[in-house]
Amino acid sequence: MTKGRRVVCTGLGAVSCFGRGVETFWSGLVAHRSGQAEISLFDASIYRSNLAAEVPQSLRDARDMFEAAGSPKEEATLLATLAAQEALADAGFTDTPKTDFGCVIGTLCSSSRLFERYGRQFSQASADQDAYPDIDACTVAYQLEHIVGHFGMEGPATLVSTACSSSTDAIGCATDFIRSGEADVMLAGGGDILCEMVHAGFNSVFSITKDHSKPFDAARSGFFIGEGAGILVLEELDHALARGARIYAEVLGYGLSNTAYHLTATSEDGVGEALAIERCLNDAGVSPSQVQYVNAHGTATQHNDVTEAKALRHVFGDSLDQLLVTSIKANVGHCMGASGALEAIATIKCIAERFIPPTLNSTGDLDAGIPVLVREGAARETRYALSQSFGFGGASSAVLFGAVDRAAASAAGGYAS
Amino acid sequence: MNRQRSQQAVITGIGAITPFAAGWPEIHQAISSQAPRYEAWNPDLEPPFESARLGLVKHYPREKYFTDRQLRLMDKAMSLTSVAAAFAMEDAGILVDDAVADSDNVATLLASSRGEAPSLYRFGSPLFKPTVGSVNPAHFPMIARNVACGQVAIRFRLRGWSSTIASGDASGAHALARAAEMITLGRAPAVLVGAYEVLSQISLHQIKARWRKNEMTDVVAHSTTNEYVPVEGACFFVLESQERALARGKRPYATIDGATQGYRFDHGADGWSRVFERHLANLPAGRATHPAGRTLHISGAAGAAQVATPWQRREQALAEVVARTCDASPTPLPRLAFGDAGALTAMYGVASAAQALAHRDRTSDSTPDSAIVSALTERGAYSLLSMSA
Repeated sequence: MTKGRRVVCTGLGAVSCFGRGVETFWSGLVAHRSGQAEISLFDASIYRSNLAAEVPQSLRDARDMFEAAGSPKEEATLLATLAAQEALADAGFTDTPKTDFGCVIGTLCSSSRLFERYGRQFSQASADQDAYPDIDACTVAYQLEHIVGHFGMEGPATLVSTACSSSTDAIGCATDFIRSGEADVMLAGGGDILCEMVHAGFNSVFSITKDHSKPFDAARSGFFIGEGAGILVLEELDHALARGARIYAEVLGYGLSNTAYHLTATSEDGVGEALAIERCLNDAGVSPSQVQYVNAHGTATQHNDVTEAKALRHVFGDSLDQLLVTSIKANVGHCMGASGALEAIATIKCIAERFIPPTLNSTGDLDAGIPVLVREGAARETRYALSQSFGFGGASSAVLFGAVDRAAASAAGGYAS
Repeated sequence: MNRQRSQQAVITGIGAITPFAAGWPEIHQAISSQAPRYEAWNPDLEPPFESARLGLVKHYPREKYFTDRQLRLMDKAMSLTSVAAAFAMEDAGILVDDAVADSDNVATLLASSRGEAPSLYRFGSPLFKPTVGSVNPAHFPMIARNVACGQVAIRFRLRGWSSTIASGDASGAHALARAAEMITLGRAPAVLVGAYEVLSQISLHQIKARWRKNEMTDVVAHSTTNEYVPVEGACFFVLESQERALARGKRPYATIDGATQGYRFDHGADGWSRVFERHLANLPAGRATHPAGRTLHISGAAGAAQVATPWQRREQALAEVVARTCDASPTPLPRLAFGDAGALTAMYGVASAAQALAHRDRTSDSTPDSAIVSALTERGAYSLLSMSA
């Protein structure tokens, strides 16, 4: 256990295929909606599957939102900035100077569409310098640089890129900055977009479904890529209480591991992935038997779901039966590096709303013995909830959220939702 | 607020590969004796200016750690980082008979600023032609920035905490700070932390575009002390707790006492004073007090003689604050030696500081016994890292 200063979540912001806003995102999950559709951003007819979950075109076209976000030169950055605006407003920081705030972004595909444009010009030996996109916006670090610049944040800031586990890692990294006393308030999360290279790549390894995403289902056939962003405002507990902030949940701990098994495949036995979960619980000082809900990585690929089930069995053992496990990837798609942040927001909402939406399209009949919540959501008071993400390169990450004791928080001057 | 830490993070191994030498002792010897000579700019691409050179890594003992078949399935980032990581672990004495003790808990952290561009372009190339072709699935994983870190983990079966930082040229410093934190928090018995950069045609095109955009060309081209050399390379450290290093009889190079990082958008000295005061206040009690006259300040980013750009003005303002507080003169990283090293810049700075602290003259009162490594980027990021003997 490495806790000293306690870290709570006081603001949430999301952009998803359902549109802008946490409530839009959450109500989509509760209403069993899916953003799955044919790709409009590029000609995907040449690929095995042409399915994805893009953010609404109206959002891309909204000039006022774009300008209010500081006119970012890159779309994942736009989504992340919009989410950050919402999260900061939600936390009550709209007019607060943010000089001492910090930021940790986690992303995989940010700037990738600009890189494609750059690559096309370069490949075709274009001598027209104006045809190339802005060079600074072509690198992944642009998302971080734009957000800290736009909000005037001069506190600790970094960007992690651990494939599809990036923004879960980012939440943990930001938590450490608060625990260590380097900041009282951090933004954590990230934005990601659909790009042809990544869609082509996942098609080439047969990971994209041709019909529907069915996590933890025996008939699962893969995922579709989603676009979106999730940003959390993390805050030191006393700092939040002192200003009477609404507290959604506490970040109790996080853990990382590398499976050291294969560059793309999840491990055979799930042990490498389980190490991240075990480290997370150890960091939180919470035993497996106390955890009630897991928002799974749940990509609905053949390999991931079997490995993830093994990892859960390895960690939770006999207490597996008291868990509920869901995946939201059939709703909003696999949002790559941003998926962890959106899933963390879903996890926090499950705690705050005392309701867990089901895993869409799934019968949960994957023969793995894990209790997947399907068909209907469940009203449930959740004290401890885990969100976990896995990615290429063996990256595994997990973060544990806890409900904040309402009476204690109120007595200290704050209140829980 | 001085932080109380249960563990102190020490450097017990350094491994590096540069265009002119492989292995930290060899590199140190090479730059001590003469400035390395770099090759001419790629003839297929017009250089950003006449004095530009290139630093490509061509020879390093990758066959010692991988079979030919394994190497065929890797990109340069993966093999370069794995070999540099092996060097660091061998130097630390934790890689014995191709095995690492307690490997399930050894953490891996990697950083790169521009390292993914070659493999990203290679994978995407079929899509960039006027007639779209098929991508090669074997090249797909290499577009993820953390795959080189994953390869290091796979090769040496390291399943500890693992992450990859991609926050531009500040990445190396950020990774080092996070690695030191992992040791002080007791999360890993050892952390293998490193950075890498690799180049290709598109990388050079992008570098040229960046220098053109930031109007840096004239500054460097007219400088008498620097020439512009983008380089490839990899540099790794093994960090351990001081307790563990001493228990196994390993004398550390240096202690990493703390780090501060963030963004600053103005150039004034007042702001840097506050940043430096915050950095000193955040150091653990009793560590790296940076006594006047006994502090080495390695200034990593620009290091140029001329002060003409906002980037360099910021660096000068910071250097003045450090000099005033610690009576330390900045020692620019010799760019003639290391080149424009992206995320490696901070790594080479820390390696140079660690070398100086480990081999200092203990009989002299004026020998530095602490070091500050600072790195600023032209895009506003800064990092400060304090070390002590």
